[in-house]
Amino acid sequence: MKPRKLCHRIHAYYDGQLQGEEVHSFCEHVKTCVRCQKELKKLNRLTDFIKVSQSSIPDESVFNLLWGQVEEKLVREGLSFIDILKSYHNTIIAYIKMVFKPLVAVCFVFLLIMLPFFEQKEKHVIVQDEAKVKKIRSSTNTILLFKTKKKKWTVMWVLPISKQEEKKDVL
Amino acid sequence: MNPRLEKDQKEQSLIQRCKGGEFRAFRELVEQYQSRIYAVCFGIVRNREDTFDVMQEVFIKIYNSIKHFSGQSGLYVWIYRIAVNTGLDFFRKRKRKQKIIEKSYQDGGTVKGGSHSQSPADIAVSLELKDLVHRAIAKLPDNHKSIIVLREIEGLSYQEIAKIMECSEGTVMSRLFYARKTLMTLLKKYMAVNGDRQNETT
Repeated sequence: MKPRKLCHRIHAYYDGQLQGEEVHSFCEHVKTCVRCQKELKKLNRLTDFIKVSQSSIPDESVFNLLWGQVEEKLVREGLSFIDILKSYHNTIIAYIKMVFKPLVAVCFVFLLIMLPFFEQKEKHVIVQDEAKVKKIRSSTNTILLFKTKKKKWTVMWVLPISKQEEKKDVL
Repeated sequence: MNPRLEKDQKEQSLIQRCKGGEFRAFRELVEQYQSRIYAVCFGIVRNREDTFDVMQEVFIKIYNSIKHFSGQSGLYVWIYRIAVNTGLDFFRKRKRKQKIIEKSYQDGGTVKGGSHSQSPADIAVSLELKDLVHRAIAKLPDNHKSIIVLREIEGLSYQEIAKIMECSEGTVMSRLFYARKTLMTLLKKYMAVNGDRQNETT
């Protein structure tokens, strides 16, 4: 290899990345290359500086303290919202059941009470808008048809004629 | 049995126990790497107290994400990656607060390998040097900083650094080269003075 190319390999040599023949040829090169010798000295010095600036590894007791804090934090973090939900799983379900059942019952009763009002309202609409209501009289029944929003006639009420007559008689 | 194989098996069983959420196994596993994690975190953060905060965060991250550790890269590579990324995140946050240099100067650590028979002048020089190196490393870009730490302090190979940093060996080599050049430029005066002194003494 050319000396110039060998000079470029100085960092790889310094970091122990050269292998076999490369190391041997570089060692031979360094003996004669002043530039590489200077660069190696610089690299050595830089490593020393960085190592000197590095803090010493703390004692075991310091790490024990750190581990205590980590454990405490993990325990605190471990009790997340989901975990709390999990731990109170049965209670929450029982509570929902307890609240849900009466709620359904109340809704049902409310609907039952409100149903006649809805019906009345519907009848009121029919009376107001006669174009939506059709009366057909067959031989036996009187059929009342109602026009829906989709413009389809649907049977709303079927009253046998005999019953109608009965009503008249009563009146 | 081969001791290395035995160690690997033990590590695997610890990982499995960790995945099951066993804290004691987790501690046993990570304690093997705590000194290295400290060195890496300090190398990036350059402040002893902040290093412990970062380490705490690293441990919690490891504990929470070990379930997803597939074992494709070695455990130490995975742990180093978490440590480097957490350290860099912390450094960035601190940088935003614009207190880097002032804070990094407050290191309470003792000088590694320093002799006990140092004169006050030597100690002053040593402190000055430490401060200068802290400032110089703090000025490096994030990628360069982590590579310098992994290479110069941890002594990892290019291949290992490439795995941790998730880049090619060529990239590691070039980043390391530029990081060293930058540091040499930033420490130029000191290096030259120190070099001259050394030359004088020799």
